Amino acid sequence: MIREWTSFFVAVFSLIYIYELSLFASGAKDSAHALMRNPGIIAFNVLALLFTLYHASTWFYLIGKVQPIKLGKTTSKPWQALLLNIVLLLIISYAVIQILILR
Amino acid sequence: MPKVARLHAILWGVFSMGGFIAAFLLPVLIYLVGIAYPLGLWPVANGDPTSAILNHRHIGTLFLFVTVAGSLYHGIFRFQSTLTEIGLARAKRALEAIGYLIIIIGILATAIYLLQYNPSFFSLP
Amino acid sequence: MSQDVATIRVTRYRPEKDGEPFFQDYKVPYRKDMVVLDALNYIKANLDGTLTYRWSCRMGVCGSCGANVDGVPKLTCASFLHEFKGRTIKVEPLPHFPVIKDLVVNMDDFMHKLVEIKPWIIRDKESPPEEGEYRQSAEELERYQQFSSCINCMLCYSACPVYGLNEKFLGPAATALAYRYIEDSRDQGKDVRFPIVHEIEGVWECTLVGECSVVCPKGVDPMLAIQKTKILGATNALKSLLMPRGAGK
Repeated sequence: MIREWTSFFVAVFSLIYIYELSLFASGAKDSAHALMRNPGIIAFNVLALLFTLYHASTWFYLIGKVQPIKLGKTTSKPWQALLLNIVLLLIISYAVIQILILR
Repeated sequence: MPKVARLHAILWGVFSMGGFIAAFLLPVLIYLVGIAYPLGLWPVANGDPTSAILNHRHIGTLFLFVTVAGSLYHGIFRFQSTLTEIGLARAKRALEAIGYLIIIIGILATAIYLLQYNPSFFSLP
Repeated sequence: MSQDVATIRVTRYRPEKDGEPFFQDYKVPYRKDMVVLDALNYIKANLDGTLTYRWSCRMGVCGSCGANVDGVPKLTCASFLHEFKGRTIKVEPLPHFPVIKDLVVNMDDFMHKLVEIKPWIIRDKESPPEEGEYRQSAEELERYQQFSSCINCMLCYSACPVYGLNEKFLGPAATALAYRYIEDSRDQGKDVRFPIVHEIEGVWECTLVGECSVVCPKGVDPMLAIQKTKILGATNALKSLLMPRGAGK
């Protein structure tokens, strides 16, 4: 059931962020910053991040089950897909930070 | 006569792609704009991450659009199923319609706001 | 000599006599290696011959003895008394099916769905016997073998909340069996089976709860079959969009 409720946080975060984008688009950057600094919003975001990471883990495990890969004579196990994709997630996140934030 | 529900199949396929987007791209976005910036954590030094990302006119805009649109679609689609599971099946048609409306408006709004911020998105660098 | 005793609390329902189902307690001698089916058989042989329930092989291969044991869909022949906390065990009919009498449920809906998915090899053209067998490699067998283990016990339908809310949902076992034939290299019936599994009440109603795979006593993993069938449906729909004339079979 928790897995299904991750969708609530994913959807609501997206909607909140779309609202923030609207503030950026209309030049109201200060309002956008104030919204992002709101303690209630920060608390929500922490929960949203936790739930999204939970979604990612269950998603990776499920993909590992549905699409096992043949490795020579053996087939991959779901926990291997989970580990591999977590590493991939970290690499992608780092790449996003490097390319879009630090440059 | 049973008939392949082609539209449903495609909608599910998009949901599936949204699942990958929410798994691989959403965590870093939530962290950057929702936690790192307000709490002053790495890698956000001074400026806010949204401005930093959108400074990269093309890939930044594309990254935000794909992440937000994909996550919104996936989240709403799945939440609709959850509501059915908790017994709101009778209102299912209405809930589905509302859900798809939110998705369409949300995705359009994302595109419009991003283009408002970066009007030169479609012009070549 | 004092004997260890277990209480079996069984749902009784006799439509010609009772307006409502009710629980009846029976005390049976408790042995560590007893299963719930042994207890039911003891009751019927020694305490109450009117108790009505299905069973056959008593070794988990026929699929007849499904019941809700302490709230979980299980085969009564595979439920040891020592698995349960305490000495009182509740036995109810499988949920999501109409009750005919006591623990016997009406299986018509499932039987109908089973036939609907055509659980047999469909060929465009049958090869004559002189041409020999249809050969299949070990890898080809592996692609569908686990889904062929289904014993039609219907525990998965009892565990599925979607089926509980919508009787039209094709459901775990029927979809797993359809997938078993879709993936069988000898089968050429995709055109016949796809419309059944890919209509709205086919796989698209499934919300990935996964309880079907948890209760399955034979490791069929119907949730996996449904997921794979969804992927087949989505890729097929995309193909038919991009190549409306078809790229050949």
